[in-house]
Amino acid sequence: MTPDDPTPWPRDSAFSRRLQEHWQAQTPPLDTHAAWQRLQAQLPPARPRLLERLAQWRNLWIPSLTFAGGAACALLVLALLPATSRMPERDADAFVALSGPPAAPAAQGGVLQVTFSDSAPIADIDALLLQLGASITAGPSALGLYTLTVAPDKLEATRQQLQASPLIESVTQPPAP
Amino acid sequence: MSHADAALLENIASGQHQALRQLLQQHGHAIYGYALRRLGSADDAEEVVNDTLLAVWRQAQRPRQLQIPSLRAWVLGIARHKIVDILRSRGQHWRETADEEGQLLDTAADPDPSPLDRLCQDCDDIQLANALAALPSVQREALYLFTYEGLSLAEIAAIQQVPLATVGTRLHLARQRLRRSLATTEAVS
Repeated sequence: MTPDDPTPWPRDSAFSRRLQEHWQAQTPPLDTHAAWQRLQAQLPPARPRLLERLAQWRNLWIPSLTFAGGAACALLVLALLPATSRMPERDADAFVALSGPPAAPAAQGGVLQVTFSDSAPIADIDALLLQLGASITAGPSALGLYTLTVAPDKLEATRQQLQASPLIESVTQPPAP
Repeated sequence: MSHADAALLENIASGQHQALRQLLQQHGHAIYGYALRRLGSADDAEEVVNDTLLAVWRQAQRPRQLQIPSLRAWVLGIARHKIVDILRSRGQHWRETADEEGQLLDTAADPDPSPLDRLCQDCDDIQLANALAALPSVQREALYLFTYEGLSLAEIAAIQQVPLATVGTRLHLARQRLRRSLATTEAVS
């Protein structure tokens, strides 16, 4: 046996076993519990594990994700809305008189503005207008005025007949534009 | 290093206290016995256990990869530094005493290993303790790590920070000295 041998000392020899027994008997057991308590007092606080850290973040990231998801859905709905469903901008300068638009839609004929009696049945109004050859082309306005169109040559006669009818409260001929 | 030891070290590096506790349970007794052999004081040995594990905790968390032959050898190597610190605080030092017959024994073959076995069968604990105490401390340390802790020569060389051949020489010299010491004791008795 030389110093260069990989095993310069036989581990399983009687003397090795004798040495092991000797050292074993000479070594009192270590109180690992006390050693751990002493050591633990000197350690920095334990870092939580990954799952524990994720659980701690749960209270933050779940509401955040919920809010972000809701916002994304709202943006998506707005983006997909058809352009026609959006309210057109009103022209702030446009003026509409309470009596209605200044020009009657059907300009082909005479124009009269009438107010029907509150108690007039619709069927009677329809029958009267049919009889006179008049038709409602606009209204009611904010004042309850309806615009009637009649044949130009019967304008005056129609006005008189309307004034005479109990179904009509007032008849006026708007000034020419 | 085994996979289990590597996993344990990784858990320590990630800051898990329980992993360090597991290391204490696995290697604490070895550190304690090793320190007790050299220091002779239970309190000092417990302090070595504590300081060694604290050093393991700090070193494991450094980003650089540690080159560790085995966890036991690494831990005992750290413990050795702590022992040296305590010896220095006592005004002592770890004597790296060279054997006066070292050059001769380096090349001498052991003709018959059996006489030592026969000698130790008859010696008692006191004789053995005296023979061990007569060894230079580095030889006794190498002998302890080899026979009691079961470390390889490479691991002991890493702990003692000497070449591999030096560990073999120390073990060889320790064997020669023990045989001579026990034979003398037997002849006297």
